[in-house]
Amino acid sequence: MSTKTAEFRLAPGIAESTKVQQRFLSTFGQVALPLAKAEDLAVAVVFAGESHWLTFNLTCTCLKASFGRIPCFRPAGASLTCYSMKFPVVLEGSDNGEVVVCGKPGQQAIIQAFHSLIASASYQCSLERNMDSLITELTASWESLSAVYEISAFIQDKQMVEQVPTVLEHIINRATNGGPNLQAVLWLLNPAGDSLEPVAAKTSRILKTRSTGFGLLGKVIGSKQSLLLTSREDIRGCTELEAEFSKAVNLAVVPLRARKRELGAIALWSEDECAFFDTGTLRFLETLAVQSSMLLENNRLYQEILATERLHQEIEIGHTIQKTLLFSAPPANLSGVQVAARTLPSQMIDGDFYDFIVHNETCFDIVVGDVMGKGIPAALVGAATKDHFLRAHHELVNSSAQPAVNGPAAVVAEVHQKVVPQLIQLERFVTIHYGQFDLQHKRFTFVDCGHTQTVHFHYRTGICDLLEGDNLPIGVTHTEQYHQFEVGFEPGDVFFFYSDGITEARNPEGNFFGATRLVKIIRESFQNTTSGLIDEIFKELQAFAQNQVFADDLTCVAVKIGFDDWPSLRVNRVIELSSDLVELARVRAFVAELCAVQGFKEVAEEVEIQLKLALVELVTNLIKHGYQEEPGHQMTLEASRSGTQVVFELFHQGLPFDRAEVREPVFDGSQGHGFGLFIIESCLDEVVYGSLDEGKSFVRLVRNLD
Amino acid sequence: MPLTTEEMNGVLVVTIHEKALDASSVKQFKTDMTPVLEHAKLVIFDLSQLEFVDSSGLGAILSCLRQLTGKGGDLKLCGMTKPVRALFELVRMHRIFDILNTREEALHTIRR
Repeated sequence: MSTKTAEFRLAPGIAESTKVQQRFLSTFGQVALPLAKAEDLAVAVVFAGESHWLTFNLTCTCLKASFGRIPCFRPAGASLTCYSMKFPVVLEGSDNGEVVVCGKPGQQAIIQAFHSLIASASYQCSLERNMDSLITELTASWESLSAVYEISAFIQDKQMVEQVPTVLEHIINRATNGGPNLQAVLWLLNPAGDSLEPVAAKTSRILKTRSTGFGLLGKVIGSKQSLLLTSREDIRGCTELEAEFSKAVNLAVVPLRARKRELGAIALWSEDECAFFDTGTLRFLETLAVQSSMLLENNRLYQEILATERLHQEIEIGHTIQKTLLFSAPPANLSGVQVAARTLPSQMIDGDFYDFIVHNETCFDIVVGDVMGKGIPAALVGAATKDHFLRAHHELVNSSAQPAVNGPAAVVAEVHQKVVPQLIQLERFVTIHYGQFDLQHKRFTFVDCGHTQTVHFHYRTGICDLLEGDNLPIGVTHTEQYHQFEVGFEPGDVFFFYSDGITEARNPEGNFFGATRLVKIIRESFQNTTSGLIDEIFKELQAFAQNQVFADDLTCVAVKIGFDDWPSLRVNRVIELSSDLVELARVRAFVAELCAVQGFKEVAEEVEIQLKLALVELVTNLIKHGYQEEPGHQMTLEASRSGTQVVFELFHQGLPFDRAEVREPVFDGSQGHGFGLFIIESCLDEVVYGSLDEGKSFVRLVRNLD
Repeated sequence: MPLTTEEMNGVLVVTIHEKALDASSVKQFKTDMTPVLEHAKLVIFDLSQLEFVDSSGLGAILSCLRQLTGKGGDLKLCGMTKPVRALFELVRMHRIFDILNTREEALHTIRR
């Protein structure tokens, strides 16, 4: 091509021609130049105003100067006689121009013949152009196909996603293989989408991570359109041009996209004047961009699968933590109370926890907590906090002189001291409800640190109270004063502790389950066992949410105060008596006091009267007959009371008693004595007379209370 | 044993100002009752302040009844508290004694 156009000269300061114009010049020149030379004609081809192409005019050199300005091609004051004609050149789009032919008078016919020469050249030119683009397309397709094949083969060789950077390097290498001195970079957006990072490059330029939104890369990514620039001027004319492109002569930039998401861009450029980029180049680069995008998208999906698997693993670990560290088994050996606790794990891991601290047979503590946030960290914070409650309890017990039971406020304050600095550092906080059941005095004392309201169902009235304290969650402030509150309870009452997962469970319409529904179930199902009550609540929750799995863990503890089935609760009392009948008043007071001990089902008045009668008769008999009313002897009366039984044991050293010698009483009023033993045996379920070593004897009296 | 007596229409009403009548107090009761029983034939025991009676106390009251009926007199009990009544019923003495709720009822029913 260049040899044919060598006969045309570029006028100084005139812009380069386009490819189409060059093709026209070449075709037209082949016939026009020999003719012009033979006929001594001056021929100028004019494109886009300022662009002039000239032949050497052998005779009309005087016109040369005039040809500098084609629009005023026919100079008004030209002294020489000449003839010139102007012909339109119709190519494509904006490439239309003119041909000016100048000769001597008498050459009109020849000059007019140029019209057909121009038309013929135009036609030839369009044919060539079509042929060219076909070849370009074929070449580009072949290039693209071979690149796809090659990259696919490369990917197959690799452990796919593990090797994403390697494959991207390979793609860049493939892009720059297309010609000498090509440079290419693949840029990827970071996950936040605010910066671009060069992940694969073959360039002499230094590249750095940069912000998105400006420059050519920003333009391409923002517009989602490929860009092809094929002249130094066009490239330099770009605003905010990236430094690495500053010396480029040809430049192609293609966005990387997948599933309507921007991933980044790939740029290919050349600083070599000889290189020539066209739509084929762009096609080729686009093919590589699609390959890169697919690779990245596949990798993302693969990572997602991995993440899901990791999440499942995390949940497994979380559940192990929960089972082993967060939840303690409810105490089973408490007298007179039923305790049940349960958690329904969610898809995520929560930091719910509960624990029980049993002080003695009639006093135990319960702590329920919920760590804000999710995941293994939350579970671990929950486990650590729970652990601190037990430690705080032990430390308080060990540090005090008396083995007193510490109130909830003291325990929570102790825990606060230990955990708050860490919690604040971790930016976590924990809601807590710490309660203490005193079965003997029927008091429940609690500290509430921003936890859910505990439900207290009153058996006698059927009313539910929602217990709420006034403290902030642990870990919110350094200086929190903990306040404890106290409520009384009675047999049959139910306490229900729970995490907010229960009240904040949602139905498909998005409504909360709420405390009102919870209270309703408790009021309807209070006669169940605690475990049965929790079954009922979970059943209702699942029906409400229309789901078996919940967003949060559902954690709860139910405590039910029993009536009289407190067999293991036993209170022991002892009184020393002297062998004097004045002691009878003390014996009655002793029985009255034993009957009044709190924490048991009330002793019926009749029973108390009978116990007093029996004891008074027994002690009277002993003083009268055992000690012959001789003062100064000691007797020991021991009593123990459980929920179902009262047992008295009277230890003495008086004369042994022989039951067989006692005559049956007469009930006709004829005798005023002989009723004592009858009374004792009528009032008790079991009377045993026994002897011990060294002249000691005992009488054991048992009265069942049911 | 603090006892008070008051005569009403030929009937002697004896109030026992004591909480318990048991083996420890029965001797004093018997001593205090001896002069009362010598003079009176119709007696009402107001037991409303008595909260406890054991078998010896019951024996003493039974003895009073026997002495009075033995000389053609009578003994009525009134104002009996629940624990005391429990003992009387236990040894079936509620069938032997006339037990009335109030002093007025007792006065009304006593045989003159």
